[in-house]
Amino acid sequence: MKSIIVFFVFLFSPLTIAEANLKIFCSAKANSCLWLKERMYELHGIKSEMIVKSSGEVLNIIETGAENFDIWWGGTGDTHLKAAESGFLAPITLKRKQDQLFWSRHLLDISKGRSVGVYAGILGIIVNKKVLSDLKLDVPLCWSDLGKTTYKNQIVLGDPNTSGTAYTFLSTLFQIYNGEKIRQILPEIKQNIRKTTNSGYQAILPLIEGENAISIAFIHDVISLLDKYEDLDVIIPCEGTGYEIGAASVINSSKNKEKAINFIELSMQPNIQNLLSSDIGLQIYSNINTVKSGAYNDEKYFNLINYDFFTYSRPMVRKRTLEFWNRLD
Amino acid sequence: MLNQSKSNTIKYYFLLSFFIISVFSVIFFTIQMLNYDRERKLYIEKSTHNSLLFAAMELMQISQNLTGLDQRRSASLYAKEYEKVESEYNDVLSILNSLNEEDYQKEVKNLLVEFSEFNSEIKVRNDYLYRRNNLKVILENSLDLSTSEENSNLLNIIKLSLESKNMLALGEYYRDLSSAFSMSNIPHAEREKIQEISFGSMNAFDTMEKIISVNVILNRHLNDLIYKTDFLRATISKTITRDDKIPKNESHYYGYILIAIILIFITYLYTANKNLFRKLYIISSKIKSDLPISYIRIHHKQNRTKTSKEKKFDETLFNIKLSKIILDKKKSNFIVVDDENFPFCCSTSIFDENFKNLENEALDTKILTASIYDNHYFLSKKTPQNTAIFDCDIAFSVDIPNENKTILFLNSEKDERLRQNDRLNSLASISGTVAHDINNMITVIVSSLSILRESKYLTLHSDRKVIDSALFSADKSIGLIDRLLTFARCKRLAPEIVDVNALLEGLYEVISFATNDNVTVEYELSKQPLFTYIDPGQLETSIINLCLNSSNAIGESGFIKIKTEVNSINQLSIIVEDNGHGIPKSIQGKVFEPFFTGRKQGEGHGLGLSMVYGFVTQSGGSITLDSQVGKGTTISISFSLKKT
Repeated sequence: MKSIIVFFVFLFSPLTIAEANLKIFCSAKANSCLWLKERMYELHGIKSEMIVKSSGEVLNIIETGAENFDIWWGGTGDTHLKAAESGFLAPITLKRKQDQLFWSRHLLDISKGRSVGVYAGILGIIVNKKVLSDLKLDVPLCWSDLGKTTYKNQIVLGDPNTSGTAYTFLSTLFQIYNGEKIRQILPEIKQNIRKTTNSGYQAILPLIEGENAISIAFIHDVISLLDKYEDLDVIIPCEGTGYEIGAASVINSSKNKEKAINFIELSMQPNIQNLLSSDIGLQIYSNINTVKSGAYNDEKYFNLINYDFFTYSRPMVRKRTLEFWNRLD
Repeated sequence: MLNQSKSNTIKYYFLLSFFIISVFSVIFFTIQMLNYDRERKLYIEKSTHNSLLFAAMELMQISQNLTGLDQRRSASLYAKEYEKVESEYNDVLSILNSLNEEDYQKEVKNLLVEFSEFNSEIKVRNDYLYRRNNLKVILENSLDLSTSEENSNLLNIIKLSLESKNMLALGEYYRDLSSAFSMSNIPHAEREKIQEISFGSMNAFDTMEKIISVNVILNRHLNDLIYKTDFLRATISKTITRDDKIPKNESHYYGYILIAIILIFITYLYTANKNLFRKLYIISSKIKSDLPISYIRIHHKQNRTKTSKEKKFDETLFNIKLSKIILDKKKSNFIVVDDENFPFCCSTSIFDENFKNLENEALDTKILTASIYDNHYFLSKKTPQNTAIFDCDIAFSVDIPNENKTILFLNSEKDERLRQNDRLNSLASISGTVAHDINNMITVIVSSLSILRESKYLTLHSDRKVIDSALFSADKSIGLIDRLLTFARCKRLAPEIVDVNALLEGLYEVISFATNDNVTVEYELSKQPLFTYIDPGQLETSIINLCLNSSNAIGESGFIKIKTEVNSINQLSIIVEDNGHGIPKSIQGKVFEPFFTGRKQGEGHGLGLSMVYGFVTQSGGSITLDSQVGKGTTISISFSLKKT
């Protein structure tokens, strides 16, 4: 019995974990996280433990104290920026910063060197055409259409408090509609919501099942499903849409900061990103020499707003935006 | 006898109690009146304070309109209007300073700092936009003349990247270009050129990165400025509405009670004790003379004292009904007429404009000092022999309840001018944005055409002819846009000290050449030289424009007289006068609007006068138009006089 206890104490001692594995919160899709873990070991011999959680959840954990974790990989940039501004992230210096595209470097700049953009994804309205036609409803073409009373109980989306996707949706609307207009549109949309889910990706599942007609998600999360589920379709709203920059950061309390930075830099090379971009995650990846995304191969997806990551990641703005949403009932 | 004595004692106590009640009532009534008077004085002070705050709010609104913050217009327009915004806000500051509103002052100062930062960012963005436009021109020329498909594909990617509106799309173009570039087999010279444009010293991608970054920052600041300006205005507005209650004169109710008591008392006393009645009469007269409104007779032809009934009527009318309606309508030009349309009373401005000359002949006038907005003249009926017709422009009328009198609120020239200025300002803002954007586009067209025309690949004469014709039209468009920009006050002026008389003398031949042969041009210039600080080129164009308009208005033959003088407010005036067909009153308010023309379609663009208006306004001057159909038109432009 004693030997068993000694074994477990050894197994979970911080020293063992720190030296053997990097502990990573991964807020990207689960299969991307798993592939990243395996590929990094295969190419560079780096062992890691991946905990898959939505970006909002990771932010909450970090804010309450995430001991023994080294890296936060993936998840919407605004949550990383908020953690950076609150002092939970360590500075990163990239050896080949010039290989990264403008948006990746931009995130590094506005986070004061604490988060770097790894991938990007575009937000869209995902519809189930069959449910819409059964209910004799039109396909929504704009964000403002989502507030129509005919879509009552037809929208499923992530909870903006925990889902980066849903927060991106909220801040996109705030950036498109200012002042009084947003006060009018958002309550109308909230009245049409059937339920909210923990993460943005989970919001697609009831749509596939035909439980509801409309969900809000990142396009790369659903593009691979379009062939399998013919009823699904992606709509780019007429007002233009927002996008996420998935970031990677080193947690301030990490005891393996150098290793962690190295992991992040290596994860931003084409030999890691190529397959993630073309086949697994399907997001737009940050290295200039990485192949193009398998999802965003059409010009129509790039009807984007000039998204202000800095403002909507500020703790006060985020708090105000979420409070505004939470108060609507 | 005893009974009579007892009856007298009862009568005495009865009288005494009446007397005491009357005295208390009088004291109470006087206190009420004094209170009312004090409240009204406070209200007047408060309303002056409020109207100044309101003016500050209005100035902030003007600044918002100037910068287009309310409509989120092109930021480039803002850069041109910044100085005006600064001056508007300095006016707001001086108003707030005079009112000792320190908190508001602080917020306005912060706003000014933010406007200035916003302005510097716009300047940075404009520099990059200028670089982008140059890149576009180079690219367009390279694209058109390129023979290689591969080369053209690469240049197309750069061209698309120059139109990017967001970081993600720009990144994808960069990726596309990098991969296409590494795979292409284009010749060395062309390769170097593309390298130079995209990643080298011209660096299209770097330029676009800067533009997109600054756009995000500008948008953020714009939202901030809108929020802060709106918030400040809303706060001031709340202060105004909170204090903006008109004090109610409820003292007349007490007055009625008092009068009732006194009447009963008098009736009783009249039969009981005449001496006491006399004493009370004296007291009551004294109280009456303490009423807060008094009349000062300034002229009374018949030297007749008004009956107390008439006085009472005027007093009630003024105190209760008239002033309330005037305050409600917030319009200071009014005339009160009776049921036969005879004037009864009017505001000073109306009196000065229309009745002053009649004063000694037919009117019985007096002035009320206890006025709220203005001094109100009371007029007696005109004698039938001296009936004059008063031509007035009525905005709206209000019947005074139960008085057989109507208040006519009149449109004053000042109101009309303000409305016209507002309309022209809005038009200027819109025209400025449109003109500026079109101007940018036409500049690219002209540059491209000019380069294309000089190209060695262009061998055919007919091709050059086509390009020349395109250049000619583009030049014409630039001329139009230029005038529109002048109207919108977006034109960059180059002011200097100018002797206006010398400038006009130099212009005589040009004007004579430009005007029709049947028109005589006459000068009546002041003897001493008149200097002002102005853009001489634009002033010349303006004078020529005015003369051309005059020339077109003259039918068979006529004259144009150009005069210079120092006007009553010590400003330099240039007056262009003609004896043409004149402009009907109904369209006089529109002549300065762009594209408004009285000529046939195709004969004019209607930009001449609007250009003059824009230039004069931008130069800090003023322009007035006086025209009578069949007699001619006089346009006067005035600028501040400089002494050298």
